[in-house]
Formats: sequence, C-alpha cells, structure tokens
Amino acid sequence: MSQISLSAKTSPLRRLSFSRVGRRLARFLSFFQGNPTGAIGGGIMAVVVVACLTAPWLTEFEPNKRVARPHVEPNAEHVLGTTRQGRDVYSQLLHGGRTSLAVAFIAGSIATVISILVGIAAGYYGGRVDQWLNFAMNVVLVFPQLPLLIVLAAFLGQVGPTVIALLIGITSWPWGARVIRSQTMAIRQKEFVLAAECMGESKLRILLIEILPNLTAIVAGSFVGVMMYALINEAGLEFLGLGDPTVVTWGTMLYWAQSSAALYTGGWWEMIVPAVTIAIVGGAMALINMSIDQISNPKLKTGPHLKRWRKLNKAIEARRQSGGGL
Amino acid sequence: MTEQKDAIVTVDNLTKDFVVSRSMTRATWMRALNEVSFDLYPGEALAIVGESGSGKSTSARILSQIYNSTGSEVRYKGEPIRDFVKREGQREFARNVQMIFQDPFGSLNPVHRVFYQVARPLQLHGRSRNKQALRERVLELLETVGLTPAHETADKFPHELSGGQRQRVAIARALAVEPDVILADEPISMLDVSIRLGILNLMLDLKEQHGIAFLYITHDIATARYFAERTAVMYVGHMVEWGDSDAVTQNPQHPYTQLLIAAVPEPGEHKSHDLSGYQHKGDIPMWQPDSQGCPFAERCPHALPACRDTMPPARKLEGNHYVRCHLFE
Repeated sequence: MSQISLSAKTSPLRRLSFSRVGRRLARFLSFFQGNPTGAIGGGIMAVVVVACLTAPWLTEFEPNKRVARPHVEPNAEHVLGTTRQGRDVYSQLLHGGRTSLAVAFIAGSIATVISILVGIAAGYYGGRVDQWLNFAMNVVLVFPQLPLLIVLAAFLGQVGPTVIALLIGITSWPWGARVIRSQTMAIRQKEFVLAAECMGESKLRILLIEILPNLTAIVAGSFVGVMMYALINEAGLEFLGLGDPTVVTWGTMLYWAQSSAALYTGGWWEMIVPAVTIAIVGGAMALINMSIDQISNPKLKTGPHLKRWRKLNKAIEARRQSGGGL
Repeated sequence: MTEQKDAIVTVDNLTKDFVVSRSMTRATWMRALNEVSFDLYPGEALAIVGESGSGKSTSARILSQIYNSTGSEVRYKGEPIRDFVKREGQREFARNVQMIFQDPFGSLNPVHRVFYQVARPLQLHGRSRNKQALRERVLELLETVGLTPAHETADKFPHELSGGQRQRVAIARALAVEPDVILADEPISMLDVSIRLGILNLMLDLKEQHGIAFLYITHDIATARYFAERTAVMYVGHMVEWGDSDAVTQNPQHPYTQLLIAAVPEPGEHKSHDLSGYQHKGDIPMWQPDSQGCPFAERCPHALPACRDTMPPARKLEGNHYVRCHLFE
C-alpha cells in the first residue's frame, strides 16, 4: 500500500534521533514549546522547588534560631533581613517553603486519588453506583470549605501541617471527581472500551490502563488546582493562628509577622516576603493549570497559533490579489 | 435456514427491548429486535443489511455479549451464550468470538501503541508467554493484515495511521486470539471508498483461509453480495427477507429490499421517480413490544389491510430464499 511506504520514509530517521528515554523527555519538553504560560509557570515552580529542597546549602542560618538582632534590615549577611525574634527571613522562607509545598503536594495527592477513584467508578459503572457517588460529591461540594476548615482546625486545636494537608485533601476532591466522572462517561462510550470488554479484559484493567491514561490532562489539571488551593488555604489557616506556630511555614511566617506587629514597627520585609512568595507560587500554579487546560481544550489556545492563522490568511489574501489563486 | 453443515452460532427468535424513558409509574420500551433468527457457519459470511436503527448493530452486540438479550436462545457450538457469563467462561467466549467495530478512530485506544493493541489479546488469552515469541507473533499478525513493514507499524500510535491502516490493526487484534467467529459491525462504512475493497478482500481471505464465520453488518447491499454467501435484510428489528445473497439481491421480493436495491445509484440514470411509490410521511416507526403488523406497512406501496394487523410468517420461495410479506401469502 502506498501510504505505508510513505510513512516508512520518515520513521527510521525518527528512530535514530531519539532513544526511548530521549523521546519521553522530548515529549515532556514539547509540552512547553509554543506554550509560554506553561513555560513561565513551570519555570517559576522549578526554581522555587529546587531552592526549597537545597535550603541547607543555600543558607547557613537555622530557621528557628535567634541569629541576629531583631528586625535587622536586609543586608549582605541577612539577605531578606531578620524577624522580631532575630531569625533570618531568607532561611525561614526556604525552610518554610519545604513544609508549605509538602502540604500542598500531599493535599493535592489525596484529593486527586479520591477524585480519580470516585469519578472513574461513577462514570464507568453508572446507574446506582453513580447515583450514590454523585450524592456524596454533592454533599461535600455544598460544605462551605474555608469555614469548615476553620471550625475543624479550631476544634482540633493548633493543628500541625500534616493534619492541615489531610483536612484540605479530604474536603477538596469533588471538583476533580465531577470533571473526571463526566469525561469517563464520554470515554466509556468509545469503541475501544467495548473492544476491551469483548476481549475479556478485567474491569480494573479497563479502568486503569484503558480509561485513566486518556484522562491525564484533566487529572493533572485538578491536581495542580488543588495544590494551589491547599497552599493558599494552609497559609490562611496558619495566619489566623489555627496552625501550630512552632513549625516554620509561609503561613506561620505571616502569623508571626502579624502578631509581632512587623508593619507598625517598620519591619515590612517580614510581612512582604512570605506574602509575595505565596502570591508568586500560587500564580505559577495557576499558569500551569491554564496551560494544561489549553492542551485538553485546544479552543482556548491563543498567541502564536492565532498569529500563525493571521499570517496564513494574509498570505492567501496576497496571493489572491496577485491573481495567482491557490 | 437449515443446512447440512453444523452451525457454529445459532440465533433463535432473538428479541431485545430497550427502555426509552422511565417515569415513576411506568417505563416506555422500544423493541430493537423482534423474532430474529439466523445461523453462522464456519468459512461463510452472513450479511445483515438495513438502514440506521434497524437493529443490525444491536444483534452483533448481543452476540458479543455487550448487551443482554431480552428473550432468545443464542447458542455458540450448541451451548447457550448465557452459560458463558462467569469469568472463565467469558474469557473462553472472547477467545472464540471477536468483534470489529465501525469506527477505526474510536476502536483503538489513542494512548497505546499498535504493538500493545495487538499484543494485549495474546497476553490475555495466554497465547504467547515469552517476550520474543510475543513480538514475533504480533509482527506476523500485522503482516497477515497487510501492514508492512510490521516492525515500524508496531511502534506507532493510532493517530499516526490512516483510517484503513487502523481498521487493519483492529482486524489484526480480532485475529490475534484465532477466533471462530468475527462480528464485523460496518467495518468499511467509515473508510474512504478507495480503500474499502482492500479491507473487504482481506476479510474474504480470512474467511476462506482460516475458516472464520463472519457476521457482516452493512447498509450497502452491493458489498453484501460481494462478501457474503447469505444475506438477511432487516427493517426496524424484523428480518423481512433472507437467503442466498444472489437470490436476495438479484431477485428481491420484499418491497423493502426492492427499495434498497432501487436506491443504489447508477450512472447515467436519474432514479428519483422510481422511489416515488415509497411514501416518506410515515418515517421509520418506533417499534414497541405491543406494536402490531408489519413495520414497513407505513411506507409500503403495496400495503394491504392485513399488513397493519399482523406480521406474516416466513414464507419459503424457490431455493434458499425466504420472505415475510403478506403479498406472498
């Protein structure tokens, strides 16, 4: 057949240029190609995560020890100044980021796992299973989340980061679950699922190997979404004094800055640094989320694609003017 | 339809009802298949011809156990297919009865490579245990269906293939388990006209060389005669005429079959006047379990009063050719 010999020409070239791992990496990087939102968000996140993970090498100060006089202005030794207690803000920022990002990651993972289980089961099985799971989703959805977290945190008393991660994780899965459910219902109708059933595949394999990989973009999107939400809510809870103030996180940094009246006494850096960092990291996650949305829904794509379209149109118009036709 | 050869699948009075809407007090049912009976023989094909909604695909999906039937005896090698419901039985059934779907763009999972799609049934049914043998068997299958060079095709994703190539992969996947029966649900209707014949010839080869029984579902009566020994014409869940393909297509007796044949376009002929007798006012009826008469009565140019009251029994014409119509009572 002619179409086969055609594709045979291109394929060996590709085989030479990429090993299997290389191809994976290329596919991962191609995600960012022509995708400035994703590239910026991913870049910021990569820098922040690496800086937090390598904190002990980037700063000589302990985050929880008095290392200088209170409220030293940013200078060469203390890059971002010190707190009212004489602790180094830069060190707190890096070490606190570890906890804050870990909370976001754990909460995101918990919520994503629950939403995958609930969403796929509801979408695939339908009927009575769907009715009950949908009911559960709606119940969790109508809880006002932040007030619930405040009440729970206050009830448990000065909760540690792990508990906060758990609380956020088990209250924020229904959004993802709803989207996954509706996508599963659409994919369930596809003939490859019927084909797998005809072939005698087990239900579990159909769910995890045939359907789940088709939901990657949606799962990734909801994961990043919950992470962003968890990061901000954790900071909020701790700022309100509901978290454990002895643990260094971006939220407790804000709490201490507030309770030591940093802004009134001129130590603005103690307040500004964690606040701006949370805003930047949250924004980076939002950018990643938007770029994932654009991939799963190409209609949202803008930028270079629109430009290319306009260029194409101009070229066609120019050719028509010169009377050449297409 | 009785013959000397042993049928591999026998379908006797197959009926299927779907719930259309369900309210608090009662449900509305639709009868998708009504008293459908046919047999499949090894190395032979039966074509089921009919328009959309005539129950063609439903019958294939009941045979492949995607749907349960409402009432029937469907037997595979003499055993009711309902006996295959338990896990192991279902595997055994899947090993012998495979399905090819209409849409080659929907029937291959976009996230898996061609190799996976073809290797999976082999692994599942334990045909090839070690990796080397598995790879060789997959390449062999891809070559059987004409996808050469096989080792390159195996590493591709479905979106890198054309529609015809994908349908060949789907056929290779169905072949992998060495089935006795293949249910082909409009396998060529979504393909470009230029590659339809290639797929049909491939299936003809498989039928003749491997002795596979085919159920070939189509709305194109011309390919039915090309591919299948026997043809059954369905209308709204009823078999209205069936028998040897040549007899049914060359000497159609039922008014609906005549309509189908008359609707085939021919060059140099403007045909619309031929179809003027078929009224379009009563479109395709929704058949309900308590509906009466012949479903084609509304559109039939020769409708008799009796047509609206009872569905006539099957009537044997000369040779292997049957029709259900009051005109032949």
